[in-house]
Amino acid sequence: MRGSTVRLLAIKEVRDALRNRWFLAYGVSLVVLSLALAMFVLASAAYGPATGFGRTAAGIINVMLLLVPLMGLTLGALSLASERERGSLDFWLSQPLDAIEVYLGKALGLGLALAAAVVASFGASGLLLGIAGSHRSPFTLLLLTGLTILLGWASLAIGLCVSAWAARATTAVSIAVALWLVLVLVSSLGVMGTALVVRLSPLWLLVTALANPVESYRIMALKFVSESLELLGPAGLYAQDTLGPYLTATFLGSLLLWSCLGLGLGFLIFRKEVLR
Amino acid sequence: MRPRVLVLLGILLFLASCGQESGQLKPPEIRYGRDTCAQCGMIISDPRFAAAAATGDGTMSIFDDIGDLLAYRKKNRPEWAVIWVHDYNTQEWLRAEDAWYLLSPAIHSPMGWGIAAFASEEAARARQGELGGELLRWEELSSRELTLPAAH
Amino acid sequence: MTAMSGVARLAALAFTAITVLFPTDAANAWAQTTLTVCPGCPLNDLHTAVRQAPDGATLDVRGGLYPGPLLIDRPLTLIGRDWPIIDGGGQGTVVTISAPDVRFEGFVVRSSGSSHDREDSGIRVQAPRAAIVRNQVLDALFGIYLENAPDSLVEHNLIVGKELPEPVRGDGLKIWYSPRAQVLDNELHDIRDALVWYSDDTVVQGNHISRARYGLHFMYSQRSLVERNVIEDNSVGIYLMYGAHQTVRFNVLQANRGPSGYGLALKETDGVVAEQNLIHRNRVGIYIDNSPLSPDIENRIIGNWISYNDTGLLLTPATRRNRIAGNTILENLETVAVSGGGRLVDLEWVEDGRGNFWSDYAGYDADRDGIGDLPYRDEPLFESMTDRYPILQFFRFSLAATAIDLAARAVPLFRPEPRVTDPAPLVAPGAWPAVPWWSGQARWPHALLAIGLLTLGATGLAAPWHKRLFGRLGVMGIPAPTLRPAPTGETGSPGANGTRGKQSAPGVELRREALLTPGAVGQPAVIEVEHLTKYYGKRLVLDDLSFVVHKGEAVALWGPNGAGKTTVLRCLLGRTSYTGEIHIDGLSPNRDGARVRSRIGYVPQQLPVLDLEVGDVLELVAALRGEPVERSWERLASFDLDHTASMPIRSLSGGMQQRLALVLALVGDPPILFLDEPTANLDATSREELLRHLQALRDGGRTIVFTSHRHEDVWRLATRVIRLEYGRQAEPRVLTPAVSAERRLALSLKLEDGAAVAASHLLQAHGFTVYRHDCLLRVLVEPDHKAEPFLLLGQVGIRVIDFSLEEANAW
Repeated sequence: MRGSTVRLLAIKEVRDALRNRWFLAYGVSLVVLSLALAMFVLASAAYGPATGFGRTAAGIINVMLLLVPLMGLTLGALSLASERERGSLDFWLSQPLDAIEVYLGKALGLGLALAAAVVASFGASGLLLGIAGSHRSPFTLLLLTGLTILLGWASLAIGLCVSAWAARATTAVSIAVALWLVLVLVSSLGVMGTALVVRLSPLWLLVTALANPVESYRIMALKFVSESLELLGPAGLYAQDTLGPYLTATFLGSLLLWSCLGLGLGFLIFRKEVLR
Repeated sequence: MRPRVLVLLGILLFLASCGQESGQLKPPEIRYGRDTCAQCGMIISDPRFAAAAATGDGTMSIFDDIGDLLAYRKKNRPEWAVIWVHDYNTQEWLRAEDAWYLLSPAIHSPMGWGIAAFASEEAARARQGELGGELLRWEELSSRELTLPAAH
Repeated sequence: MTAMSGVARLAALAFTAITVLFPTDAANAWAQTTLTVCPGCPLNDLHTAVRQAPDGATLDVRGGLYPGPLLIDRPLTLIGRDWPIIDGGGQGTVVTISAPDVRFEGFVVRSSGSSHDREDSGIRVQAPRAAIVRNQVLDALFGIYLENAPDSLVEHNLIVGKELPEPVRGDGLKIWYSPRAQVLDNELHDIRDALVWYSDDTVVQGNHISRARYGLHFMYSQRSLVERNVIEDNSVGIYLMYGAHQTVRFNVLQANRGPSGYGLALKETDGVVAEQNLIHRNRVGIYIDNSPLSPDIENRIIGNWISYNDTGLLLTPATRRNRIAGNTILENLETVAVSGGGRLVDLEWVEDGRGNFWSDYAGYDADRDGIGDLPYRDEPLFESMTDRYPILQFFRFSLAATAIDLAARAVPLFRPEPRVTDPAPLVAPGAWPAVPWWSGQARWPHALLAIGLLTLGATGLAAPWHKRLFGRLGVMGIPAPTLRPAPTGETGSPGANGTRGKQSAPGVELRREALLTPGAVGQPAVIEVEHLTKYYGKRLVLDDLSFVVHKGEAVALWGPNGAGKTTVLRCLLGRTSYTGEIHIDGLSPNRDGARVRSRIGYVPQQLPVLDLEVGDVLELVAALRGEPVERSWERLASFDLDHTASMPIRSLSGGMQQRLALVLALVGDPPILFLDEPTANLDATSREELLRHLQALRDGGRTIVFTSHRHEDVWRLATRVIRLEYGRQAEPRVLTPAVSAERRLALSLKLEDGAAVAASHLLQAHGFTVYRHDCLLRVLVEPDHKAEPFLLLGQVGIRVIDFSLEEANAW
C-alpha cells in the first residue's frame, strides 16, 4: 500500500462527493438546519445577558443525531455498490492499484468530505452564535464537532460494509436506511420498552448504549455540553460512577471501534467480492 | 487504555451478575458527597451518622442521620428486614440492634438529631463522659417519641 | 458601575451596623488603652498581650507570625496591620473568642486541626456581639463558627477551606444558635457548607460563595434576609429547610451542578419569598419539596430569571400553595418536572392577571397586551414518563424520545395531562433582575474559532478542485510504478508518425507468416500460463489452460461468447482469484496485482460511465501510473481527443470513448496491452481507425493480448490465435485456412425505419451474430443457410427493403 496513491484516490473521492447529489443534499440540509437552530438560539439569547446551552441549542444534537448517521450510512452504502454497478470500480481496479488502496482511498475521501460538511455546519452556526455571544466555552463547539465527525465516520464505516456486500446500489441503500432506523430509533425504543417491562439494570442500558454508535454519540455529546451525565438520570450517574475517568475514553472508544471494525470488515468483504 | 476499560467492563458485568445472585443482605456502599438521604433529600457526607435499611427483597434506603431513619420509619412504616448504623468512632457498619446509642445535644449530627451509635458499651460510655447525654439501646431509642429539634 | 455603588451602599450599611453594635463605652475603651504587639516589640506574644490588656483595650498587632491557639476571653479589640498571621499548626481551633464585644480584624488565621468531633475551626465565637472583620481564614476545617454568639458581625472575610475531599471538609461558616448575625461581603470558597441553624433574623448580603457543597444551608431558622449574593459552582446554591419567612432576593445562583445540583431548594419551609433572583445554568433551577408545610401560608416565587438550567422547576407532588408568577423561564432543557411523577395541584401560576414568560410558549398575542391569548401548557409525554420512571432519563435527547413526544402530539389519546397550565403567559421576558452580576465575556474567541472551522470546512472541500492537482501530485510525489522495458522501435502515439495508411500492408504479410508459427521465435516469454483453472461458484469457467505469450506477439483469445475469454484477461490482470500459475514478467497477478497491472494497459469492452471529465481522469491515471501529466496530454492530442478535455466522459461518442480508453491504457507506456472486445461497440469507421492504431502499436513492439469473436479483428491484428471453447483451449489452428473452411458470409439487410432494434434482438436470439448500424443490419450467415434471417423476420412481419451479400472476411 502506498500512501501517496491513497491520497490521490481520496482527493478524487472528495471531488466525486461534491458532484454527488446525495452528498450535496445532506450537506446543505446540515448547514441550513444548524443555521436555523442558531437563529433560534440567537432569538432567545437576545432576551438578556444570561446565555448558555438551552433547549433550542440542544436541538443541534438532535439534528446531528438524525442526519449524520443517515448521511454516513447512505453515502457509504452507495459508494462501492454504485461504482460496481456502473463498472467504474472495475476500471480503477484494473489500474496499478491494490484493492486496499482503492478501498482506503474511498473511505478516506468520503470521510474527509463528510467531516468537511460537519465542520462547515458547526462553523456556520458557531459563527452566528459567536457573534451573538455564548457563555459556553468555544472548546465545547470544537469537541462537539470532533465527536460528530467521529459519528459520521462510524456510520460511514458501517455503510461501507453494507456497500461491499450488496450487489446493487438500491439494495445497499435500502439496507443502510433500515440500519439507520434501527440504530437511531428502533433500538432505543426497544431498550426503553424492555427497561420498563423487566426493570433492566443501568448496566444493561450502558451496554446497549455502548453497542450503538448513535447512542454513544448522544451520551458523549451530552457529557460535553453539560459536563456530567446527571442529565441522564440514575443510569447516567451509574455510567459516570462505574466508568469514572474512563467514561469519555470508553464511549469515544466505542465510536472508534465501530469505525475501525466497520472499515476492516468492509475491506474483508470487499476483497472477497473483488477477487470473486 | 482500551483493553483496561474492556476488562473493567467485563469485571463489572461479572460483579453485577454475582451481586444479584447472593441472597444475603449486605449494608450498602454509600457514595459520600453524592447519595442523598431518603428522608430529607440532603447529600450524605458524614459516615459517622449515616444509616441504612433494607427490605427482604433487597430494596435499600439510606439516611444521613439515624434520627432521619427513625422519622422515615415512623412516617412511611416500611417493612424493613434489617437496619444498619455506623459506629461513631470506627465508622464501621453495625446492625442497629447490636449498637449502643448516645443521645446528646452536644453531638452535631447532620440533621441535628444528636444520635451517635457505638459498637461497645465502653466506647459509648467514654463518649458520654465527654459530651454528656443519655445512653440507650435500640429498643429504647426506637420506641422513644423523637421530636424535630426546634429553634429557641 | 452597579457593583461599585452596591459596595458603597453595603459599606455604609456595615458602618451603621458597627456603630449600633458598639455602644459608647466600647468606643471610650478604644480611646483609653492601645497596646502594640509585634515580633520585635517588648510585647511580642499575643497570649501575654491578651492576658495583660484591660477590658476594652485595643491590641495593635503588627505583621508577623504568631503561634496559635489564641483564646480571647475578655472584651478586646484586636486590629491586625500588615496581615499578622496566627497559625494553629494543624491542631485544634486557632482563635477562640469567649468574651462578648470582641472585635477581631485584619488577621490571617490559618491551619486548624481537622477533627470533626471537636469541630476544629479557624475562628470560633462563643459570646455575643463579636465583630469578625477583614480576616483571611485559610486552611481551616470550619472557617468562622458562631456558636451561641447572637448579634455578631462577619464582614469582608475571606474563608478558604482545607484541601480535603468535599464530604470530609468542614463548614466555612457555621452559625449555630446565634440570632441576628450579619454576614456581609465575605468570600467563601472550597468549603463544605455555609450554614445557619437555629438562628433567626440573619442577614446574608453581598457574599460570594463558590465550590461548596451547600452554598447556603438554612435549617430551623426564620426571617432571614438573603440578598445580592453570588453563589456559584456549588452542589446546591441555597437550601432552605424547616424554617419560615425567609426572603431570598437579588441573588445570583448559577452553575450549581454538583450532586443534587439545585439553584434554590425549599424543603418543608413556610412563607418563602424568592424574588428577582437570577437562577442560571444549575442542574435544577428551583426545587420545591412539600413547601409550605403549614396550611395557611403561601410561598412566593416572583420575578426570577430561571434560565438555561437542565430542569427549570422540580416539584414534588406534595407541593401546594406556591405562587409562581412573573418569572422568566428561559431555555431550560426541561421546563418543569414532577419528582417521582404525578400531578401538580394547587399551584398559582398567575398574579394580578399576569403569568410567567415561557421560552417554549408557542402561542400568540393578537391584542398586544403582553399576555398570550392561549394558555401555556407543558405536556411532553416523554418527560412525564421520565418523571415516573427516572431510569428513562437515560434516553433524553434521543430520537426515540422525540418520536414519543411527536406521537403524543399527533394522537390525543396519548397526550398526557399538562403539568403546568399558565392561563396568562407573558409574551416577553421580564425585566433583568437587579443582581450583582453581568455578562461581560469576550465573544471573539468563539467567533474566531467558528470562522476557523468554516475556513477549514471550505478548504477541505475546495482543495481537490484546484486544477491540475492530480498532475502536480503525480509529478511530485509518485515514482513511476512501471518497470519500462526499452521498447523496440517507436512506442504509442501512432497518429504522430504518419504511417497510418501504409502500416497495415506489410503487417498483413508478417501476420500470415506468424500465424503458422506459434510463438515469436527468439523473443522472451512475457506471459506464462500453466494449468489455469477458474470456477465461478461451482461453474467451471477455465479448465486447465496453459499458454505462453512472447514479447512482441499479438495474441487473440478467440471463441464464442461464454468461452471464458474475458475471464482469462481478468486472471492475467489479477482481478480475480484462480488456481494454477500465471507469471507476467515473472510476477504473479494473484500476489503482486498492482505491480503486474503497472506493466499492463487494459482497454475494457466499454469505458465505464465515469462522472469525471476526460482531463480529470487522464490526470489521475497519469498520476497513478507515474507519468508526467504533460506527456499524457500529448497522448490525448495524438488521438485527436484534446478538445474533449473538459467534457464528461458520458458525453463522448462510442468511438471517442474507445479511443480514450486506449489513451488511458497507454499512459505510462506499459509494455503489455490487454483489450477486451475492443471493437464490439464501434461502427465501421471507428473500428477501422482503432484497428489501425492497434496495428501500429503491435508493430511498435508491444505485447498485445485481446479477446474477440470477430474474424476481422483477429485477422488484422493477431500474430497468433488461441481458441477457447467451454473454457478449454481448442486445437491451435492456423487462422486463415480455418476461416476459409468455415467460410461465413455477411448479409447486409436494409430494414424499414424503427425495425432494426427488434430485428437484431430477434436474430441474436436465434444465434446469429448481428451488427447494427442505423437501419442497416449485418448478419453473419453460413453459406448454406443464407435465407434463414429473411424467414425469421418474415414470421414477425418485419419487411426487408434491400439486401446484399459479401464475404465476411472482406470487412
